[in-house]
Amino acid sequence: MADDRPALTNDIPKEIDFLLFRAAGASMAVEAAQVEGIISREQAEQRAIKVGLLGRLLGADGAIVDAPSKVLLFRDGNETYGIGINALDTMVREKIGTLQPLPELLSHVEGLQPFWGVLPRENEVVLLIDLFRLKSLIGNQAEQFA
Amino acid sequence: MKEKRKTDLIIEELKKRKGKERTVDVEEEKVKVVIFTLKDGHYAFPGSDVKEILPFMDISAVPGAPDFIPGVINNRGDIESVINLNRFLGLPDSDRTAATRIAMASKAGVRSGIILDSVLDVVDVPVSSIKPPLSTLDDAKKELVSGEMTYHDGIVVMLDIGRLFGKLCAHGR
Repeated sequence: MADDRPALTNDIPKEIDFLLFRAAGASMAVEAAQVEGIISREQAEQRAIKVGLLGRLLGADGAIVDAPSKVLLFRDGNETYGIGINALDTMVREKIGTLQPLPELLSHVEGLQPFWGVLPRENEVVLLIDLFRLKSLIGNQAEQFA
Repeated sequence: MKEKRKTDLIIEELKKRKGKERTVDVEEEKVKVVIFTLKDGHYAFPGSDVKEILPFMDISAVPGAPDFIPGVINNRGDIESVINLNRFLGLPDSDRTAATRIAMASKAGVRSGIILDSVLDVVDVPVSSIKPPLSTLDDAKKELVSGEMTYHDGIVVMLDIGRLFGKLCAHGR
């Protein structure tokens, strides 16, 4: 059977749907297609899902309090992972042209690789995060909520 | 020899003097500098490396960024990193006031905002007025200092933005 999936170079969409949320004291967005579901922290506890706390995964200092109320789920193979977030904001569709790469100085910082770009919004800057880039960190630092 | 009027002689003399002044101006190479304050004193950047001086604005935090990069700003749609120079120079943090500014600097393909306590002046100074830095500077500053000059009887420390960005890029890796 012929493989009719588009080649990678032709696979760049004109627009992307983002899920905006707050975590680790910052405004962030993830491509909606990466998210398999959103559950409460209690549900994550009951399902014993490996959950990463963004502030800790990114090595943010102690001033940033991770007190997640929701968990974004994503799947890689047979494994389901979770990312704790403070609050879900909204969903937006953005043209590729409105996105910008992470500023040069930050792109050199070890540990910030999960951030692949930024989305300028009227009163804020939204950090674009790739959950799959976080996966290896979650594998090492996953924890259950207390 | 034809006699000249006194006023003609004076005008000739004035023109000669003016000509000499112009010659001096041409020979004395000048450089634009942005003089600013930071906690403990006066500093300057080469004006050619400073593209814009902005009022202080909200900084969006980037979790996991080093403490001398407090976050990013939205400068008319362009997202730029911001440097807290105090942290990099080993100075205590400054209070944000109405005089606080963000200098947008660009060097060697790197662009970033730098928080300044206040901008005092943007002036052209003779290159010869910039002297080598004192050897008594502490290590944190020494690496970033390209020279010193006087401004209103005070010492201004010239900082090298290229070295600053180089150190920041190396630190992040």
